Amino acid sequence: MNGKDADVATMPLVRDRAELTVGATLEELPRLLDVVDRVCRTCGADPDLAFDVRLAVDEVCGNLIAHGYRGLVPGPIALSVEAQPDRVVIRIADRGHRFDLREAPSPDLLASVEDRQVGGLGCHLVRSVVDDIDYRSDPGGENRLTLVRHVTRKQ
Amino acid sequence: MELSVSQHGDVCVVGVRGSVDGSTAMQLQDTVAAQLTGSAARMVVDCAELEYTSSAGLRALLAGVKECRRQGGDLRLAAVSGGVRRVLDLSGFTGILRIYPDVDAAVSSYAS
Repeated sequence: MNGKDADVATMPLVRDRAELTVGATLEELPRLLDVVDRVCRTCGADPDLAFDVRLAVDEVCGNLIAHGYRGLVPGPIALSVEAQPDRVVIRIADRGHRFDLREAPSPDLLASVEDRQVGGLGCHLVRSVVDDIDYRSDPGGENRLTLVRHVTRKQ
Repeated sequence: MELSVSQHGDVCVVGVRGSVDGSTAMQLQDTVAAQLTGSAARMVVDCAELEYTSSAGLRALLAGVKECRRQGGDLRLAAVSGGVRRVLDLSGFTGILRIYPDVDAAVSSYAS
């Protein structure tokens, strides 16, 4: 740790974990976000950390709801949010199309209003607000995404 | 999320309070669109009480800006702070939307 990090007073997060499995529909998005909000309140996350974690879950679940089961029988989203002393770990599992957000192209961030598309923006935001991303698809058809956001971000 | 609509001269101000996410963004987009019909397309979105937005909120704002500018007006933001500001920065939206410290400044910006 350099001197700058040592000046930042960060309390360790209180350990907490919550899970929820719901159908991948827009009506369920508020319940998924409530899980995140509750864990962040309980664990003592500061506003920036809480915002980033909520945003990451929102964007991933939003994508799953809009596209994850397109052309398939509607399926579930299994969310787990876990606070550890120095990080928040988000796990999201689904049984839909394989989609690794690490591979999604970024939108053109310099495009004018006329040319701007919003597609790809969600993935870009997730990559910007979390520190580690892991994605696996198993042969049985379950996709598992793990996002890690450290309390103290490496600059 | 709660929305309020008020008129400041010929500028329509839409106040957004709370959180804009995938389940509420359409309501914001529809409210902005509803104000545009039959009136000058000069809008301000007051973000003073906006605590959170995802890309869904940006989609709604972008749709609003495009339509306002298409009609010869604009959509400008007021009082953006915290995480919302960060999302706008990360998305490159601070380069395409005009942002002012408060509603008065945003409304006045149309006068010049």
